Amino acid sequence: MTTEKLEKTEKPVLRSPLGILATATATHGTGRDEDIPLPRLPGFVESAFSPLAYEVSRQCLTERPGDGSRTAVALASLMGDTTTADLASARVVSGQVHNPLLFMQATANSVLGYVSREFSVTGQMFSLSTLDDPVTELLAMVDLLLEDPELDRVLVLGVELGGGERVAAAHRELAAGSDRPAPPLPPASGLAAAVLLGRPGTETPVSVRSAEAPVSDRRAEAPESDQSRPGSIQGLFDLAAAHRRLLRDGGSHLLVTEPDARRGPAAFVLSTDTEAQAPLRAPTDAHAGRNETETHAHQ
Amino acid sequence: MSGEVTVTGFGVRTAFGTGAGALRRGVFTGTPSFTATTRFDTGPYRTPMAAAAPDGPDAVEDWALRHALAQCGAEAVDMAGLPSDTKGGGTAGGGTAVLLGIAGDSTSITRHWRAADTADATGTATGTAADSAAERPADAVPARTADAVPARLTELLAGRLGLTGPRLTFTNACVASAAAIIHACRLISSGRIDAAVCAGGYLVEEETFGKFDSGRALSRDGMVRPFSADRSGLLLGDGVAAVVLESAEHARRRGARPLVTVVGWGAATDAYHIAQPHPEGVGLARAARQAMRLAGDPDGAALGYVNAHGTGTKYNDGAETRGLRAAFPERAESIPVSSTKSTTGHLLEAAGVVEFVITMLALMDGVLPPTAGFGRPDPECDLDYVPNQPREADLRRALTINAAFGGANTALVLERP
Repeated sequence: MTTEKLEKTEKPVLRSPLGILATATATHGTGRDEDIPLPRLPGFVESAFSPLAYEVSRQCLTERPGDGSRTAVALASLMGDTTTADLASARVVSGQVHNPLLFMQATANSVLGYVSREFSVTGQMFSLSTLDDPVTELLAMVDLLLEDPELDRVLVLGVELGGGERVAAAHRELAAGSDRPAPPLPPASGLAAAVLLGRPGTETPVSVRSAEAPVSDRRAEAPESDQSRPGSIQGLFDLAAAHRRLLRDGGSHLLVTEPDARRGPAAFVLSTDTEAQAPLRAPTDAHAGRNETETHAHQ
Repeated sequence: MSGEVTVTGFGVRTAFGTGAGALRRGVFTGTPSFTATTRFDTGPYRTPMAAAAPDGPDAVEDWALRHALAQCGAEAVDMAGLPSDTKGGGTAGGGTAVLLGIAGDSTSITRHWRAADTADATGTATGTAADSAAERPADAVPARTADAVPARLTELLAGRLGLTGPRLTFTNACVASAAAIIHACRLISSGRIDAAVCAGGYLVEEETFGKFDSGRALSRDGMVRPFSADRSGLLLGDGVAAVVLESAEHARRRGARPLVTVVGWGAATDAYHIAQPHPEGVGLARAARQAMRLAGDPDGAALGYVNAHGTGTKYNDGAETRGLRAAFPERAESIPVSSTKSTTGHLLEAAGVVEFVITMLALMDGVLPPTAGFGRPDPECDLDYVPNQPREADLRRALTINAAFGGANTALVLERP
């Protein structure tokens, strides 16, 4: 068991702090207490992907309505809507007629378009696939997008579906050479999490900034779970849980993301401390340690 | 913008073949590349036509997309003279980024379900990874089910090119590779990175072909006739391309010659429909205006050409025309607009980067690629579409536009050095 430290030579992920406007999570068919029935979306069938993506987007955009023309959206999903892809493919090879609805919803663009219409979001929208930790990739994208003077807010979300043998096989191949586990989600289940971010201000009692702090060896003691699976959105759930706790209790929270093959773990400080909302300075180890209330490694 | 973004290399493959010469002989002469494809049984579908390279069924074997990406990526890097990071090259920004616009290799999904279907019929065990016996290139890695994962293709490309910078995969359908280029421009102009390889790829295969057929989106007469009154839909095409983007300062330090400069970019959403464009092209106009503002030319005074999205569908072309009129209310009628999908077909996730390369060539050669298959004028499409014949033009700036499901729109402005 070793103590992992952030490489001091690595650039911080965030140039400037971000303010968290809202967070939301939703699960379906996982067996968890918080599982929800899927909301009905006209034109979307069979798959949990789009309903879950819509649900977490709806929660954030309803809780904190804003100027849709100055809002961007980025959705991360390692494999996309695998349920729809498998249904459509199975029909092709068995000689059945294609279902045009499966064609319409095959890309994440469709549900993003639905969200954009419902909430009048006309800023840019992206969907992404990453083997790295989506928290790091999405927060970095938000930091970059918010340098655009035409944008004030970015909604980021992650969606992950359970799947059958093909999805499991793909994960086994991605994990080859490591002990990364296959996804634990049953078929037809799904997870989604969303975070609405802007720059820190009076409307964002919780801010997030890059930390250049040693990662506590508590990280290495974290219980094994599916946290190290490529593209896992568990980190977004951890971020949302930390946000809720900080809104209730105040203080700060160190969120450590999964390292990837090219770089060490990134770390972010979530804080209600107004000091943390000042322009980012490279934090000292002591500073980060003083504010630290808990270290998570996406457990 | 703190840093100017230049393009120093590219590699491209379409149904016309590999390289700029193939594009010049095909796209720039207005010669459509549509044939009845033999890659799969097209019997169940309304048309057999696609712009698929005549390289037999192996063209969609498990290694094909990876191989084409690696080939185009290597050509782009070679042209740019960009050293690999793993061979001591690297950049001050911590390695060259690799950004891909791609949906993953759908053939691996088809193969999985075909194996399952066969197993059901014969009672044999189901295989997951593809067991293709097709002849592979010597450097092809074994077939992988995981090639359906878009991010894996980015990792493979970065590994093949020896590039160690940030990696990100854009999956947002027909704007995916344009979005990758825009993201690279943002990263470079903000000083976060020095250089990026942006790529995209789609090779015609049955999975997607069937979906578009089910959506009744495919042309009925075997041609793509953008902006023409007799247009009846799109046809799919092979497209893979890669471009090297780098800061002007980085290129200058290396002694690399900029081919073009990217001076503006924009992206916006229609907020209208999950599959249809806004009838007035609202999002497209917004993206174009953003790009032109960033380029310092909000009225498009220096704009000499627009490479349109121009799918040849009833919904798109009228909306795009109105969007261009809204973006350039004073100049729309005097700016030549063409759709090169009339010759290449619709390249889906690769459309952005291949059409970026075509737009580059238009600037470099001073030739506008025509809209092929243009027949009767449509009253709702009333701009100059460069019908059927190429046109010489002394261009300084050009705009390339893409749109996608969900109402996503992108715009990029290129300038000749």
